[in-house]
Amino acid sequence: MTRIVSVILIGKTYLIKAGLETFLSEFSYVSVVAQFDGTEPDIEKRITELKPDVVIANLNNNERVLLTLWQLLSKDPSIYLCALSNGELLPEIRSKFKVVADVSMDKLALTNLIKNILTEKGLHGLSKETDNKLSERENDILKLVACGLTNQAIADKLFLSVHTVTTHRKNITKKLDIKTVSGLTVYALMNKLVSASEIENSH
Amino acid sequence: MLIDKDMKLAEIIHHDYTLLPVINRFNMHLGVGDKTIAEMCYEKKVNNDFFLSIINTFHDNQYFPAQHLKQFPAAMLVKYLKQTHLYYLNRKLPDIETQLENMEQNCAINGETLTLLLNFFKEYSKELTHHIEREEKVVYPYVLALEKAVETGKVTNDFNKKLQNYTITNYKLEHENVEEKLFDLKNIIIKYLPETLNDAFCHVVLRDLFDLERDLNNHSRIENLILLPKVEEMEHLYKQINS
Repeated sequence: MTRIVSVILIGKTYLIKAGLETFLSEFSYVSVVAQFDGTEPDIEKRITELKPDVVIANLNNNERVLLTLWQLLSKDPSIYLCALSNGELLPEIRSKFKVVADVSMDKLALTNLIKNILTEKGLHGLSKETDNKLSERENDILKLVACGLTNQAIADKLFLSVHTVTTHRKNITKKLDIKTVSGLTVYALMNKLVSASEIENSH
Repeated sequence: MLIDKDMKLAEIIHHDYTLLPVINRFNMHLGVGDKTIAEMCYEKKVNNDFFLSIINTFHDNQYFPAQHLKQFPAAMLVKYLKQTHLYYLNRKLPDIETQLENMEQNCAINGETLTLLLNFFKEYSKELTHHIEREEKVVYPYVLALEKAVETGKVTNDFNKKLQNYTITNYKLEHENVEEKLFDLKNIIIKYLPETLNDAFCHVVLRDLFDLERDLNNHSRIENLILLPKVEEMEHLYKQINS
C-alpha cells in the first residue's frame, strides 16, 4: 500500500494552480488537499492544521506574503517547501527555498523535479520496496486466519501475544494489499498455503 | 466540462458514455434523437436541476454540489437511490456473476481458482444485497415518513414511537463497509491471478468491477454527504415541532 502525499498549492493565479493540480493528479499517489491565494489572514494556521507533506507556492508578485509564510512553515521542518517562479526571483528569496521550479520547465523536467522531492522526503510512491513476500511466520498466521481463527485463538496456538498477532496481520494486509478475511482466504487457497479440507475441518 | 440543460443528450453520451446507466435511471432510453436535457427532463417529468446535479457529480469527480443537492426533497433523493439499487441488483451483480461462471466453464485448467473467485464474489454480492434490502425496508421508509411529518407539521404518536426506536444515527453505525471486499476482489484479480487464465475474460470482469465500484462510490457519497445530514436536520426540526 502506498502512502498518499498531500500537497498544498499557494498562489494568486487560478490558472497556474489549476494547471499544477491537473499535472499533479497524474501522480496517483499525490493529492492536492487545499489551495490558497496567499492572502488569507489565517493561512499559516490552516496550513499547519492540514499537515501537508509538500507546499508549492507560486511566488510571483506575492513575495512578502510568502516570505512570512516561509518563516512560519520553516518552524515545521516536516513540510517541504517548493517555490514556483518565472525566473525573476531575488537571490535572497530564492535561497530560502529547497527547490525552485520555473514555470517554463517542460513536462519531463517537472516530473523529475517532483519525483526528486518525493524521494528526498522518502515519499516516493514508486519506491523500490517491492519485497512483499510474506515471512514464514506471516504465512503461518495467514493459514490460521484463512481457517477462521480469531486473533486470540491464533495467539494461543502459536504462543504469541495478541498484540504480536495483530501486528503480523497488519503487515500481511499491507504486503498483500488485501483487507478482508474472505480475501485473505482466497489468497491462501490460491497459493496453496492451505487446502479447502483444512478450512472445512477447522470449523 | 460542466453539463448544462441546453446540451443535447446525444452529445453528452458521445462525450462520456459511462453516464449511460445513470441516464437510464431517470427512465431515459436510447434513441434520444436531438433532444436537449431540458426537453428530455420535461418529457420524462424529471426535475431538471436534480438530473444535472447527479449527472455532473458522476461525470466529474471534483464536482460535488453538496449544498445544492441538499435542497432537493428527500423523497427525490430516495427515488434516485432506489433506482441505483435496482441497477445493482438486477443488472450489475447478475452480469458479473454470469461472467465469472463463463470464465469458470471456459478456462478448464484453473477451474479451482475461478471457483474461489466466484464464491468470493457471491459472498460479496450477498452482503451488498443484504445491505440494500435493509436500506429499502428500514432506512428509506423512515426517511420518507420523517419528511412527511416535518412537512405537514403533524406530530403523531405512531411516528414518535418510531423515532424513539430508530434515528438515523443508527444507520450511520449500520453503514458498514462492503466496499472493502470489492476492492480485495479487484486486487486479487489484478495481482494474484495465475497467468494461464484467459486475459480477455478477466479484463471484462475487471472493467465491470471497476464500474460497479465507481457507481457505488457515487451512491454512498450521496447517501453519506447529502441524505444523512439532511435527515439529521429533519430530525432536529421534528423535535422542535414536537416540543
